[in-house]
Amino acid sequence: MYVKSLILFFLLIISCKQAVTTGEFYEKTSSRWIYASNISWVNGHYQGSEKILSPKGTYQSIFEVEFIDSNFNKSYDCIQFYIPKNESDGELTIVRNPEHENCSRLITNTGYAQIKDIRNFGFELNEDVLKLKVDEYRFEYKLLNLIKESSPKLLDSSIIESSVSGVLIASKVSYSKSKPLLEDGSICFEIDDECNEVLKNRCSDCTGGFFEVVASKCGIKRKRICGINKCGQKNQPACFRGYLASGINPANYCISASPVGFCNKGLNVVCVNDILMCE
Amino acid sequence: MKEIQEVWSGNSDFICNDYKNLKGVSSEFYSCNPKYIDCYLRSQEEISPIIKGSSYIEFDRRKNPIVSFKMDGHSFKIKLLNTCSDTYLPQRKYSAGPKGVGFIWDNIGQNIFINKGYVSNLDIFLWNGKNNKNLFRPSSKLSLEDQIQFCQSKGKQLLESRYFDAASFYVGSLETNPEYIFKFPYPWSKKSRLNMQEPKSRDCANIYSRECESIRPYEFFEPIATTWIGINNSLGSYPEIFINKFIPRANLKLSSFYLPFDSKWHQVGLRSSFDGSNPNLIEVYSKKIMDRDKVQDIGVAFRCMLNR
Repeated sequence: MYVKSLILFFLLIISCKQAVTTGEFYEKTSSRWIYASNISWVNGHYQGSEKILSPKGTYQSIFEVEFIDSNFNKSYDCIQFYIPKNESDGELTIVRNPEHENCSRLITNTGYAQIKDIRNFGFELNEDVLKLKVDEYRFEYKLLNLIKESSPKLLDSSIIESSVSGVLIASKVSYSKSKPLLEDGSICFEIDDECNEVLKNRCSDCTGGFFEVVASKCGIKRKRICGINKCGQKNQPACFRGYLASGINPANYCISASPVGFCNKGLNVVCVNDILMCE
Repeated sequence: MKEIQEVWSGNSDFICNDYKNLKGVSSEFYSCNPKYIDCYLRSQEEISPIIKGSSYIEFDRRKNPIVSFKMDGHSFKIKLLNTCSDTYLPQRKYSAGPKGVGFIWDNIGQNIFINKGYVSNLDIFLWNGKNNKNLFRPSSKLSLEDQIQFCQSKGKQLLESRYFDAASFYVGSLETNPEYIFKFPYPWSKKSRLNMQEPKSRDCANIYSRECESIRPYEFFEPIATTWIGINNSLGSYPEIFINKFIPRANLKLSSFYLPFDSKWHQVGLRSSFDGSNPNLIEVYSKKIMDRDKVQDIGVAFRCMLNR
């Protein structure tokens, strides 16, 4: 009886200690992330993962939180996790990243918040709520400043969605001085025949908008080039009519007089170097 | 911060003294308006500007306003998101041109957003810093080249005629691949013709035609002739210029307050031609339309579109 009580007392002490640790963890992280504006995945493998299970016995950078700190400076935290292996428990560590390095370089750094002895760790990001799931504990962060892309629907505006119409941004940056990065004629997005992204979409950095050209068998997306859309004119790309409207299989787009594209009156659609052009 | 957002979104009772006596302007003008938010901040004694020249507003490279101010010794910057100016065109099959003409196309895979209203003098003033007058009026005297450049400065393109048609034709359903695309002449109704007697006030809320000035005053920024996706001024009001990729010279919506209510130009999809000076009233699509109204010194409005 005496031994049983001792074990129970011991378990209670451990449980209380863990509760204090998790309480501190939440206090420290939530006060820093209150103005989080972006969450980016260091390793795409973990994007959308509800549970981090492999590779066992390794330290992994899971994601990075970008936020405005209490001095209104842009700041970053790395979320690192030691994935438990049979005999060794997991560790969740939050590391400051003042130089905005790749989080995987900071894998051995000491964190400002940590939870040890973890068997299960996972997370969810729904709308503007981030939920960390550590064994039986759930830490919820309401991220009002979070800006995220979503599939637009009828009556939406073009603003990349945020839950509020104004977001707090770092106060020591001169936003008017940042220059556009891509000049007219630069390719800002490219996709191959299998719809793999050859060049990641940077078209919002074009000086003056962009236009699309039909240049691959991918039926969903098209190559994009910065500049004024001159499609349909002589020696310019053909305008895109669409696969649904033309009834053409994307695999067969590259033919003369392809109905997938159209040109100004008197010009013909031709396929030159896999691009539909007007001649 | 909450109150700034409310003023910015037009959900506040705040009235700026500078605009108190402004007549003939809809309250929509004050939503997502950088000058109005600047006026609001100037009226707040407990916060002070930190931008040179005593303004609270700076702009990023896309001219999105960033409000900067000091409060309790701290410097804040808030980026205000313009959720007012444009609206989404759903991805589906469409038909360009008026009834009887079928340029079939689709925008599957394109996230297209269209300005709800005309580009205003305020937009142009914020762009080039010239002409600080009548900021609530549509910009109607800009050259085609400047119109294109303005849209480009926003990362957009001048609105294409086929997208305006897609946004204006009344749609019965949101089906992606409709078997048949109906083309009703009016954006708000399946009727094939209107009662062409003298227009009443409610008719002028649909087509603001020549007679309407004596029936109800024209309000700038007022959401009239609103279509199924929420763009305004689909018929009537100002003539409007587009880029037309199917028939390049059919680039002008002539339906406007320059024409009488019974003009046959007041139909979705009809285009005249505009070479940058006087509109040429030719029948672009149909020989049946014979309108010989003389139109002098015409102002031509425009709007932009974004493919995100």
